[in-house]
Amino acid sequence: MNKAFVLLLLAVLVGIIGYYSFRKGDIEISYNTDIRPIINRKCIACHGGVKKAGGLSFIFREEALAVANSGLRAIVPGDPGASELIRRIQHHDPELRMPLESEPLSPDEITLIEDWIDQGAKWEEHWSFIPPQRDIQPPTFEKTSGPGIDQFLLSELSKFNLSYAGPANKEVLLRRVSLDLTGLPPTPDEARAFLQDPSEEAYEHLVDRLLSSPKYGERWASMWLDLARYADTKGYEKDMNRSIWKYRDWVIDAFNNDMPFDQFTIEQLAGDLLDQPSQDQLIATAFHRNTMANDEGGTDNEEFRVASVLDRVNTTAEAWLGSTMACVQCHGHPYDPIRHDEYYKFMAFFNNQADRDVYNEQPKLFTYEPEDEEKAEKIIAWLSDIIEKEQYGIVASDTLLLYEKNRKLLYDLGYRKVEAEEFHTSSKLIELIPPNQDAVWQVQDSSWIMFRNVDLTKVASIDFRCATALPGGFIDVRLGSLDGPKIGTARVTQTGSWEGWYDTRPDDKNWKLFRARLSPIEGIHDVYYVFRQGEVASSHLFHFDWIFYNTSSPTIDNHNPTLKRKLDELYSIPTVSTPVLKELSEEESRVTQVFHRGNRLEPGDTVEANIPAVFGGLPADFSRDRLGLSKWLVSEDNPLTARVMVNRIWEQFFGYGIVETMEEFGSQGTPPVNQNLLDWLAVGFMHEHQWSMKRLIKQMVMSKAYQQSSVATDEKLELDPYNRMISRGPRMRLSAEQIRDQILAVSGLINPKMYGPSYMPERPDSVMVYGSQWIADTTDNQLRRTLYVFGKRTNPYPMLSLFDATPRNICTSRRIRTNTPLQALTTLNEAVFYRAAEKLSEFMIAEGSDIDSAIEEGYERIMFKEIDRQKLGALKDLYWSTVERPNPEDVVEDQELDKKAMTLVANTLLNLDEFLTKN
Amino acid sequence: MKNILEEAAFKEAEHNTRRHFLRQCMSGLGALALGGMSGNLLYGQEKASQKLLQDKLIPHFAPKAKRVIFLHMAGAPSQLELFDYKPVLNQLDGEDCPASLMEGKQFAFLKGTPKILGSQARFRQYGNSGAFVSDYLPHFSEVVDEVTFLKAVHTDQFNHAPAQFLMHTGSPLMGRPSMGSWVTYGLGSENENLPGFVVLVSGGEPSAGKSVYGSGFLPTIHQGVQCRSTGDPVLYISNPRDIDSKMRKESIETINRINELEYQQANDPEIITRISQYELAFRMQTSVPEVMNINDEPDYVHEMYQTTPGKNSFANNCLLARRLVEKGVRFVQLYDRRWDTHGVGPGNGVDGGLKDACQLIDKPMTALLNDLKQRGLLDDTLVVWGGEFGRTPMMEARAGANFKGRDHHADAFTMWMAGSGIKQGHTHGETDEIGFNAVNGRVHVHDLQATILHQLGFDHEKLTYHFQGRDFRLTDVSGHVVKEILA
Repeated sequence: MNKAFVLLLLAVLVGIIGYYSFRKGDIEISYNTDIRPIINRKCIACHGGVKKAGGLSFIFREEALAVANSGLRAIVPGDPGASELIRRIQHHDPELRMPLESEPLSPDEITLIEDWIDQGAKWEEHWSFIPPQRDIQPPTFEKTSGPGIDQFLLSELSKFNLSYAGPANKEVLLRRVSLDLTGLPPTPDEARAFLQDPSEEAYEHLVDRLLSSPKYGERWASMWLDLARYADTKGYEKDMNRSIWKYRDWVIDAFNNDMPFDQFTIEQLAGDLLDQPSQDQLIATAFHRNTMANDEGGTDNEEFRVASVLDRVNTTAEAWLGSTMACVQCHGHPYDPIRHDEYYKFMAFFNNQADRDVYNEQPKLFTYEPEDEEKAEKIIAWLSDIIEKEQYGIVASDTLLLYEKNRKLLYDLGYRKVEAEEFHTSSKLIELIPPNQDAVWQVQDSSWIMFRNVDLTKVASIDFRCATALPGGFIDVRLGSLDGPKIGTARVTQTGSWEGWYDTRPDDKNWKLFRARLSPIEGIHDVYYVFRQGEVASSHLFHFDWIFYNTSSPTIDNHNPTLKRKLDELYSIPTVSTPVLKELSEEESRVTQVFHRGNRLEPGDTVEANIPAVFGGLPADFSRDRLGLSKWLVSEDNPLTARVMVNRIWEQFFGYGIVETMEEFGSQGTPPVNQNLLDWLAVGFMHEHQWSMKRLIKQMVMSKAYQQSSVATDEKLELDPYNRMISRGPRMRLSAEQIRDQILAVSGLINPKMYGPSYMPERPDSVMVYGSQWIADTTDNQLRRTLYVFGKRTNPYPMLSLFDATPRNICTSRRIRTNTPLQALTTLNEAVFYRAAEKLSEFMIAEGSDIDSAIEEGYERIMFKEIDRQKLGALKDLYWSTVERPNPEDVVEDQELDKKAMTLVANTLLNLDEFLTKN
Repeated sequence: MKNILEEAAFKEAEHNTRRHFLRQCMSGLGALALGGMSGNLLYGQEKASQKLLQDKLIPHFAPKAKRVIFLHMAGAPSQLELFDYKPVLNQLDGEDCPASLMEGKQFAFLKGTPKILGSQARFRQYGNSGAFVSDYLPHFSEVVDEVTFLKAVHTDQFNHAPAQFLMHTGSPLMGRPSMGSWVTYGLGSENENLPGFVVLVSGGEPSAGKSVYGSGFLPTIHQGVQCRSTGDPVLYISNPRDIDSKMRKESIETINRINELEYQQANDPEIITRISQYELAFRMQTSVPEVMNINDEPDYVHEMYQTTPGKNSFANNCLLARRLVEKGVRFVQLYDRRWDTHGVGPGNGVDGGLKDACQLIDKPMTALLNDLKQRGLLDDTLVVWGGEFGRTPMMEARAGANFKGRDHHADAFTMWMAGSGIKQGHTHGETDEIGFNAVNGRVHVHDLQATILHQLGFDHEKLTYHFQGRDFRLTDVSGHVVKEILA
């Protein structure tokens, strides 16, 4: 035995011992880092929450450890030798080797799994289900000052030998931050204030000014409204108009007032369950009334009520938890630890609201616009003066909203008028006259509408306001049910004749009152109005507007006619209606059952409201209703809400979320590019910023990362092509709203009016969809900001969809930015865009003394910086291509600038990449 | 054996990630800039956009088809009333459906024990091939010897939108590139003045909405462009009144010149895409109205297709499809939405309603095949017809037994293909005696997609795009070329 051999032997021995000591050593194998990726890639497709091939699933530890169909256990913690999994992944027979019909696992992967089982097969939840740690510290990175976003990013970049680009020019930064924070370019004054401020705080002051601008709320509302699926129509086949813009205005105000995100959450999900909710808190609950509703005749309201409840579940899960719950509707989550029945436990929170997919969208909140509010208050004050309150039991109540006060007062005085379309339920084919839906329509023989809990004591007769061009028919008044006692009948006869009577609402002179005298009756009843044809049959007998209950000796009769007139006036003050959430009372409450395979027609076990177990279940001190749920969503126990929201805001600035799949933080989403940064921001959002969105936003835009130049080097394009590591400033095409608003703003066309009903701008593809036409608003209303454009679900305003805005049928987290010739055609040729070019050229001609300066002025107006020589040269060439160039020998003094040519130049300016892009 | 150079070229092309892809375009920038400076940008020869749209990847083998017309009957027509003749089904009409058939199956609307519904149509055999066609399609019966029927197609989805996504993007989820996008990504366009992927819609947008012809994660120039029969054929394609086409040309050249300068500074590849999109926009301004105007077609053509100029109809769209492929559009996708025959009311059943719908497509699609053939285009144009799934042999009876309707059925339905290397007068696959299950020659949607790509010269497993850490392809993780139907 020679020395060399001994040495070799020793080396081999050391190697073997080293190997084994490594394997059995202290290095703990992490399930999330080492094992989960293998399982997700190679196993979960067959052994997940849906397929469970061979009775084995790797979603929950107890399932993975259980005895499978084979009678064997895939994983025996601490004993790889007894684990069937280890045997199968190394099986020599390809028919038995796992994964089936695929490449075998690599030796390294097999070793990892063996060692992991040996160490006890410890399980870990997916990263996003574990709450972020409170004490994350930014890595210290000497090159920058202060801890923060930059420390995280720079230390990550340094691993690739990259660093930030230089700071962006002041002009570039001005435009970038203005568009980001307010969705609009700066006004010339705003620009001057910043560009001429040499102080170090100039940028911070700019940021503060922008954050306190009311335009800030308008810009950020757009982001939230995609998640809220806010639109101005109900969707589905009929796609009738819906009045819900008060909710949109609520969102704008919430952002402008910097309502903390926890409160923002609670008010939208459960504002109605708060103590004495304010009008605004009720409007906030319209968040979940943005669900689509189906008005198609003959549909089962319950089917679409359930559909809207499911949508509420999916939207809540996506908007706050970044989780795609939709797949759990039909079966256990294929990849994440959420069980089938847990979907329905979550659904139970949303299954107890009063809305039922009825045509009139009840329950609704009626409110007054400020000027009408004043009117109503005045009349109420006048009435209070002349009537003796105590005598009539009229009690002023401060807890009632103004509208309720008004209705109560009217009722108490015996002015009992009720709109026919506000029924509680109706027969299937009843509809409302389009597009305003303010009268009952499709009144057929044996159709009916029903009102609940009507006090008929002392009611002597009922008047019905109807209109028809046909001989009419009858309205039977029945109690309690369709075949309950008939206590009166009104005969409706022809009231007039007018053009297209069938589906148009006539003017006042064609409406008449028809009376049903009642047999004396006491008490509170459900009243059915059952329609009946006379000698003439028709698929629609008459329009039906409102009902008036005449009581014997009503209070108003004791007063002079002025009072009656005032009451009429009070009743007809215009109101704005908004569908809202309302919880059913205990006796009316619904039971929630699991739907077998997601089918509501196959209900299974009854479940109680709860959150999925992976989140620990709802703590005992939270109420088991929407209020408890919403409070839990913004509690520290919830690992997701803050991360998800921080990620959304990050994406708005930098183009991609830290988790790119903003809608999916589960195991099928992309992992965060920098989890420590995400968690640190999330923790800061909750604690340091106390859920203030403005503070979070300021933190991001004050980072050096945000203030970098967006110029990319070849190296960065190679190593960081999508700028996920933020190796340079953001550069991306503006959103649909930003593009249109920017053009309206720089041209001076913009109408800055905030709030109010949405408007329909002119469009070339007219929408003559039955009952809900696109009636273009040709006033300067159509020059308002784009977030006020009427959202028609089945046929959105084309410019919006061409630039990737979503139709808002369902909750949408991401708009994918595209770049198409159709976008080019839009910004080149669309009517308002071209009008903006004309307006801009007027400005250029007025401000410029010659062609050069006119173009310079125009460019500076839109880009806030001086034009460079080459670009100017190109634009001058364009100008001269349209206008005959004067002979150089002729000296032309003060030549008038050509309007048409300058408009072409302006049109060109408004189509430059740099103008359509945030850079 | 494959030429080694070809192999190398393909390997190179295969690694065309978005970044490489754009890089490649940048190499064409010099030419573009030159063209731009000389004022000859729009009519210059080697243009960046041309490079972008053409010569993208080298096909894996010699293609049989250069272009595709896909006639999608959105809503899903009943195979049992059109092509899949089942005498036993008729004998069992009105009988209870055996429970064994329903077990473990998912249906959109069927519940309880439904009854068997015999075919509402009458069948006869036609042509030399003796293919069965019903009396709902009298004209189409004349061209059965041109087509291959796939009688045993099956899918995974039984609701419209997911099934439409699966059919066109290979995945039931929203957000994957559609077939037309994959094809233009792979082959570019034959005509640089028209979009490579055009969508024509009649009877309403498909349930899956516009995403079903989106480009997903592929560069957005590959998304389908919807052309309309009324008004501007493409929205905003007409210039404002004061701007004529010369001015527009000058202005777009100026925009692109300035964008090039911007690109030199910012180094953002997206600018290159924008330059090419503006060029394409300009070219579309002349080429689209031209190709969309069917007024210049002779009367006999209108008679043959049953077309009326200016009308939005499947007939017009068939004629437009021929005109578009004639001009070299790579992928023409038609959606005709009127086929969801549940029998929930009059005119919505597989009796009257379906028969009416058939009348609207029978003559036009027959004319399309004849016309393509006459013009020699059928040799290298692949025509595909079908819905997103089929219909059940059972009656749905959601609204009582008055209306004869069928529910969605994912397990067996009929499609047909014709042209470019597809067998003529052939039938592939068979269903059981009531048309419920496919018993042989089963063709999954992914198999169909693999076959379409194969005819275009692509190995469906190799036409991939790297995204979010993995290589995606149209056929997801499955798909086999249906060799039996290749001539």
